[in-house]
Amino acid sequence: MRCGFSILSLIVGLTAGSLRAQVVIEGTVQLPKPSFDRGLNQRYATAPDIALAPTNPPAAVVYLEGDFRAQAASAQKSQAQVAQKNVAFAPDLLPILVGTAVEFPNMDETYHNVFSYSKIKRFDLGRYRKDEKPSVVVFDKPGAVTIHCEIHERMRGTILVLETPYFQKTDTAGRYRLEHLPPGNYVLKAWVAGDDVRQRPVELKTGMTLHVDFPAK
Amino acid sequence: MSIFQPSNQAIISKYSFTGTLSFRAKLLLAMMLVVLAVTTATVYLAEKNRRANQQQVLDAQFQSRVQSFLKIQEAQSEIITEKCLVISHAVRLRAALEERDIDDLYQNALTELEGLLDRSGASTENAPDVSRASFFRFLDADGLVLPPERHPAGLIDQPSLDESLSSLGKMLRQEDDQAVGFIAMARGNRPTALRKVVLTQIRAPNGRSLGALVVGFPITHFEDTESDRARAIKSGIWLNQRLYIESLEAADRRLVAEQVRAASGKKTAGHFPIELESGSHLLYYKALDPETQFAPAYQVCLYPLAASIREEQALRWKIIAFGLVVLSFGFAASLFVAKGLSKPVEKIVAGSVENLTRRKQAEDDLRASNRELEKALNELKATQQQVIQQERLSAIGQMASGIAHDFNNNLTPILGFAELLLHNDRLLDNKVEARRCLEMLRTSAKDAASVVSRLREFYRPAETDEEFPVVDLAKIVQQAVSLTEPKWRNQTQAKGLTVMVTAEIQASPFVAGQESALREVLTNLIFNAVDAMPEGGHVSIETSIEGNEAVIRVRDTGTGMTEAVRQRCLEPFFSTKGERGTGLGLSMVYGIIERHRGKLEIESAAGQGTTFIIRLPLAESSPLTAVAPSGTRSKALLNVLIVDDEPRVLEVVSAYLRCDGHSVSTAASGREALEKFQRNDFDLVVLDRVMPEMSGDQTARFIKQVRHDIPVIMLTGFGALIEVSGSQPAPVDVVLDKPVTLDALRQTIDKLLYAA
Repeated sequence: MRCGFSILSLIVGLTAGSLRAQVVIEGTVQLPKPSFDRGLNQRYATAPDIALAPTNPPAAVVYLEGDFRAQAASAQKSQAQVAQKNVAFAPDLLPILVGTAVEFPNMDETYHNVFSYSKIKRFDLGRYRKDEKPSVVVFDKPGAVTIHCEIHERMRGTILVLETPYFQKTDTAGRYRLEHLPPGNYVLKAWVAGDDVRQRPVELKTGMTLHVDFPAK
Repeated sequence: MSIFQPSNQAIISKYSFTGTLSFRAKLLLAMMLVVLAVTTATVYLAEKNRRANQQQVLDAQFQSRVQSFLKIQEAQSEIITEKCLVISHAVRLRAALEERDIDDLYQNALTELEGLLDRSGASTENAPDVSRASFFRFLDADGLVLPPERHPAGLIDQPSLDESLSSLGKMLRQEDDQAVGFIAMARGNRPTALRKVVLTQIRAPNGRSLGALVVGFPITHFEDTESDRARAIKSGIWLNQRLYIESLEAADRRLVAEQVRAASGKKTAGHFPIELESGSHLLYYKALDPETQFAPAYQVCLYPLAASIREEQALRWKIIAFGLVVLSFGFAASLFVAKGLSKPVEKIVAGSVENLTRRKQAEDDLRASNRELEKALNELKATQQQVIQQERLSAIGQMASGIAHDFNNNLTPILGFAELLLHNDRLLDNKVEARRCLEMLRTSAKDAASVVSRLREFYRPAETDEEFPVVDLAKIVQQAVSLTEPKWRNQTQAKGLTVMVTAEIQASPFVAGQESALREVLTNLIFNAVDAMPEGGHVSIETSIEGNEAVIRVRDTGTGMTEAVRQRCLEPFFSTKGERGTGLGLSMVYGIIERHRGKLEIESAAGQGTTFIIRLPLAESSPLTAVAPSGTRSKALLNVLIVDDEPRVLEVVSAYLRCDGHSVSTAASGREALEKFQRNDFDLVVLDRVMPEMSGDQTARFIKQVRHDIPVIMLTGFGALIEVSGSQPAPVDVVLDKPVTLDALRQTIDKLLYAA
């Protein structure tokens, strides 16, 4: 997924970069400490052969907010995937452009039941196995959608549906680099959690490399 | 006298009357006091016991009430809290709560709580099912109630519910997963107005609180049982300053609430009496869950005291009545007993005044006769002792026959050899043979003499009027110690023993006594003592004056004597030395001391040594001046007067002395002796004791009267011992036993005349 975006960015960079000088924002988002594991839902016995993956390290999504409907429309047909692997969502934080269809393949030997009560996108995929055809959900409204597995309470993921194509998920150290940005006045936002979205107004000019850090609130 | 007599009697009778009366009164009083005390104690104990019992019964009742309540609560809680904890992990509930999807939240919760909810929809005021929740609500992360958008059946409970729950958010701390407590629904004063609530935290996987689930249950209030109702026992719950109880006047309720509030501040459980309008009560209270975050709740129970007071009073009257009955019986009994007892006492008192003097007299008499009896007994004992002693000593008479046998044995060779020599001239001519015969004769004679002397020494009947010269006991003791020294020093040293004999002269008493005999006594005692110390030891001879007695103590550290030996040791021929002893030593000692009118005491115990104590009467005068001859005499020749009625003795003694070159004059009687003595100047007088006309003693006395410094040797024979002499003891210097040998005579003369 990430790889796909890099290739996309590269293509964009190669085609547009030759015409004009690049606008780049880079910096670090200070991430919260990894949360501790609260344990599995005791209602369901967990098969002992399922390896418990460590809680996913935190990450954030940095995106440039503005009117990018044209670009969004061009990315209409894009695909993304949130797998259930080792009793966790992989990835557990997925930024997508509005209209992206996300596939939820089960890669574990056990059942999963992915659902969301989010007002942006309510869905309940029901239970299916690894070898069954994964469900696909199209996220057509912007916002953060928290996804759960009814069976495994520690499984928790977020799909961040964005109206901008200029976004990037930080690495686990919180570093990011947005390239090929259009010049203009925007708001640069860093989504850390549902209740933790940091933002900075930015004025982008051709050829500049802006450095923006998002310290913890 | 006749005038005083009646008044005396009157006094006596009055005295006896008051004495009896006071005795009876005192007895009665004492018995009544005892009865009273016993009754009071019994009643008191019974009362106390009863009260304690009542207290215990009430305590137990209340405790069991509380216990049963708590038990139900506990069982309920276990199920409910567990269930709630499980529900709080439901992912859909959590997701709905997180998304604030209230409708989904309550719909999902209804599914989850299925089976826990009382969905009968019936009014909770009547017979609520205590195991079913009567409502549930969600609180958000800030503790605010999230009211359901529509009210599904079973969720209503009361219209004012959400209002009542508004303060619940505070009860659950962030770190707690669950809290249980009681809350009051808006109105009402009955226990049914209360709810038990279980608050359960709902968290996101990262531990963040998303909100809480509140499940409410009706109070499982113990119903007042039939018997409770009959006894008007009321119970309820005190919560947050208010009392929830069935049917109690408002004023009483406030009072109880106030009192519980005051009491609960100090203790979590207890009881106290309380005065209500409906009467006296005993109030028990106990904290239901002292740990809770909620407002404290107490179980309260009111026991009306009116009934128990009535009961108590009835019982008290019963006890008092019982006590009175017992008391009166006791008094009656004491009166009876006192009267019965005082009658004989009356008699005694009446009689005692007259009898007192007589009794005293009788007692005195009795005491006196007791004393006499005691004295008589002591005398009897002493006499018995004497009789025993006499008896023993008279046995000596029998022994004498044995001695006579020995003596005859010795006489046989004497006679034989003498006859041989007289009738056989040829033998006489043979000087060697003659000498041999004579030697044999002499040996036999000596042996015979020793037999006699042995017997004589142990038995001389006490001659009460025997006159002894005054002698210095200290000197005799010292002499005895030196005379015996060869034995105790040389012999014992040869055996490697150490024996010490010391004379401890504390006083130098003078006694009338025969020096040689006393010396013999001491010598014997010293030998005995030395023999009694086979391991060595110390013999001390101590002289002292005690009162008018001279006392010699011969003390050894030897083996001592058993009581049996001590009893018999004075008997002749009794010996513990086996072959070595003749058994005559101590009996001889005893004889000598008896002769001196002295006493012999023996203190001994086996292993503790023996002390012989000789007590002799003190002499009234000091001893005669030394009979040492004047210095003019030399070892050379003496002028000797020999007095004896027996010509053969005269002949022999004369021959002895002439043999030594002394010049000898003889006298056949005392009279003749005195005549010769007055005419001539003699150096020595040797006289026989037993003579016709004038005895040796008398002769000696006369001679001494003429010349008190003239040495006098007295010869005595066996006959003198057998016949008790009536004469005074002779004032002679030395007494020699017949038959006298040349050696003995020589030694005596040497001692008397040349020793100085």
